[in-house]
Amino acid sequence: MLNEIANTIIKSRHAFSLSEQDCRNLSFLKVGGNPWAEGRINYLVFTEGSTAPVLFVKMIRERAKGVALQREYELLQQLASHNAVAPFLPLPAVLLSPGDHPILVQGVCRGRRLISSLSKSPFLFHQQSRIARNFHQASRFLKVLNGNIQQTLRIEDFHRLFTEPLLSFERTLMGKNDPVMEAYLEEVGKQVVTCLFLTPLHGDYSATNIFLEPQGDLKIIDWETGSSNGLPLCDLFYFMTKYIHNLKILPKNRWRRVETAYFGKTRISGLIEETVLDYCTSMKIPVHAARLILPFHFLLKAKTKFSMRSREMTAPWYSLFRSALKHERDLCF
Amino acid sequence: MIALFCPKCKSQLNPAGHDLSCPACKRTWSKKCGIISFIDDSYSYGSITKDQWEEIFQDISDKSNEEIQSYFLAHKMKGRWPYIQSFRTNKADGTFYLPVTAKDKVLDIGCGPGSLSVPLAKRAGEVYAVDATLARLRFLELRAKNEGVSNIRTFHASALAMPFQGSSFDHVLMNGVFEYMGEWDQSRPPEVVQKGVLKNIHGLLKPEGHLFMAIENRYGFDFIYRKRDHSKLYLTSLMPRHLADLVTLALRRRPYRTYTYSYRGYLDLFAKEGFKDITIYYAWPSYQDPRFIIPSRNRKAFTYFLENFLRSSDRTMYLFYTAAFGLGMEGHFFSHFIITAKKGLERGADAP
Repeated sequence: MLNEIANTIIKSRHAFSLSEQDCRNLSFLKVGGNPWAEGRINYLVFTEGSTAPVLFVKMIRERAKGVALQREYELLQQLASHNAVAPFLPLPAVLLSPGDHPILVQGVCRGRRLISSLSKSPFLFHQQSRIARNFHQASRFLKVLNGNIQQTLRIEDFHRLFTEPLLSFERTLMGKNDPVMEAYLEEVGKQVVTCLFLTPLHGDYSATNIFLEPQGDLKIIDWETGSSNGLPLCDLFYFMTKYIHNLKILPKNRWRRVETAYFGKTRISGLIEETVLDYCTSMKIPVHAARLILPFHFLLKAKTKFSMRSREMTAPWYSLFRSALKHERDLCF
Repeated sequence: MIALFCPKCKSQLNPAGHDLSCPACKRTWSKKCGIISFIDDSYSYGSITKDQWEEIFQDISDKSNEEIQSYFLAHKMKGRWPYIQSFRTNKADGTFYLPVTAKDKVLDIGCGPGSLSVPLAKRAGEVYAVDATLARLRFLELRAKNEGVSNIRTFHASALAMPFQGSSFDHVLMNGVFEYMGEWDQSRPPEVVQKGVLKNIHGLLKPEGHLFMAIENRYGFDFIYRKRDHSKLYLTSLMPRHLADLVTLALRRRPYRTYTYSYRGYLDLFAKEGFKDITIYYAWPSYQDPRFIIPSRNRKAFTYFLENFLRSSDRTMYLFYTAAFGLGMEGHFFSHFIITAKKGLERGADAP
């Protein structure tokens, strides 16, 4: 397969500013990806003389599932057409098809991942300023993305994009629809359309997918779970949740830690509050909308995890959703 | 479907109802649980017993793959993890380094629950899956059926006596199997048995066909300080073979027969058996879960892996491999290899 990919890259080398000499002996370093059949597999491509990779290749293991790459490519093209957003994207991005197996070939991010800045100290005290800095970096891009690309959110859009899929998810998960859930979604819909808008969503906006380039620029990778119809704040909440979950601090129960951060009075709660308020002020979004979106976002994530993996991955997100509804008054912002 | 041959006398087999019969030695090879079997059913790899397997198949035979995973997760029995993990198809990621096309015939020796066979079957023409444990083949068939894969042919046979002859395959795979070959024939030294297997594979490959092998490095850093060798003891792979033999005889009451080799050792072994274009890739953290596959020929890729991935994930390994890299010896100590090689000339044949 990789020999076919190499030949296809050579044929399209002009799109990546590679010379014929560069392409003489391409080698592929497999990096990460995810382990499931419908999952993706990533390669960094090295030329003969390069000390760093020159291209990033992404493919889905099963040819038939390659449509996900097509979607990602289209989203990247759509975002790249906005001058303010384009510098944050891994461009150029070209969709190729060696042996009818779609691959997405992108520019390489040269910086370091934000995840590498996670400290291994078990004490929050040593990490507080770093967490604040990283929350700020994450929010910086989202303000550009959500500030530049907005569409009006109508109630029928909300029902089509969110209410119906969420009710269907609940039916599959629980075997029936809970009237309380239906009422909740109805209420959220009514309130959200008055103060929010549709905006592109990354869908997996975590510290592993953010590169900090040497000049301080950010590059955001892995748009495969992205969508052009998302709600603001969802990516920000996901980033903070995953970040807190991945910290190597006490208590060791990571999901419990997330819960106490959002609904407690820890130092991280203060950082969350600061970040959310700053985002809301910049985007001119009322804080009550953020309070509304947080549990809703947990529910959306539970649904996504359910469709991607299994009930086991769904459980912690669903439990966060229930907990967020229960402890609404204790929310840190 | 390629022609099948008697593993005992090498004559071509004829169909006889549901079975196969050998016109030369008059043996009949029957199906067991729908799988043509060339060995008795006494051997069972892994900790799950045959009785347990019967119960398991009663429970899972009408379940989807997701339900099968949930079943194994829920039933806390010893030896269940390989079957849960077999659904993680990244184990087969190394095979993307092979030029597999939709017409190719692939032989998967020691296919187990199908970690390689099932993903490969979606890219290749036909996959011939051979294993000595019947239950694993039944498991493979079930999961393949659930995924709508119909081009896998399963064979209950020993890797030392397979029902194939002549240059029939475009690719032959051995994933974590080669090191166990010595245990299957106690009458000859392990390295002789292993060389015999390589010679047989060489014969089964079509001209320019590929061998794919995933295996440990005898001197891998993992086995120096934190993981047991296949003998289930520490450090035995590092010892001279006769010393390892004495140690395993003393501590495990069995000879040391699970030979792995060094980086140079594999290159020599493959070259001597007539393979060419031998390429070694490093698999990290292991070939069973190759999250990173690094071409050993590109040392810059290795440096990149060290600095950008290993440094933040495993400091001890990072320091060790950085030092080894400085001495040009990273290949000698990297713990897991994926090796690809092309069929060259037969041993002793002259180059044109």
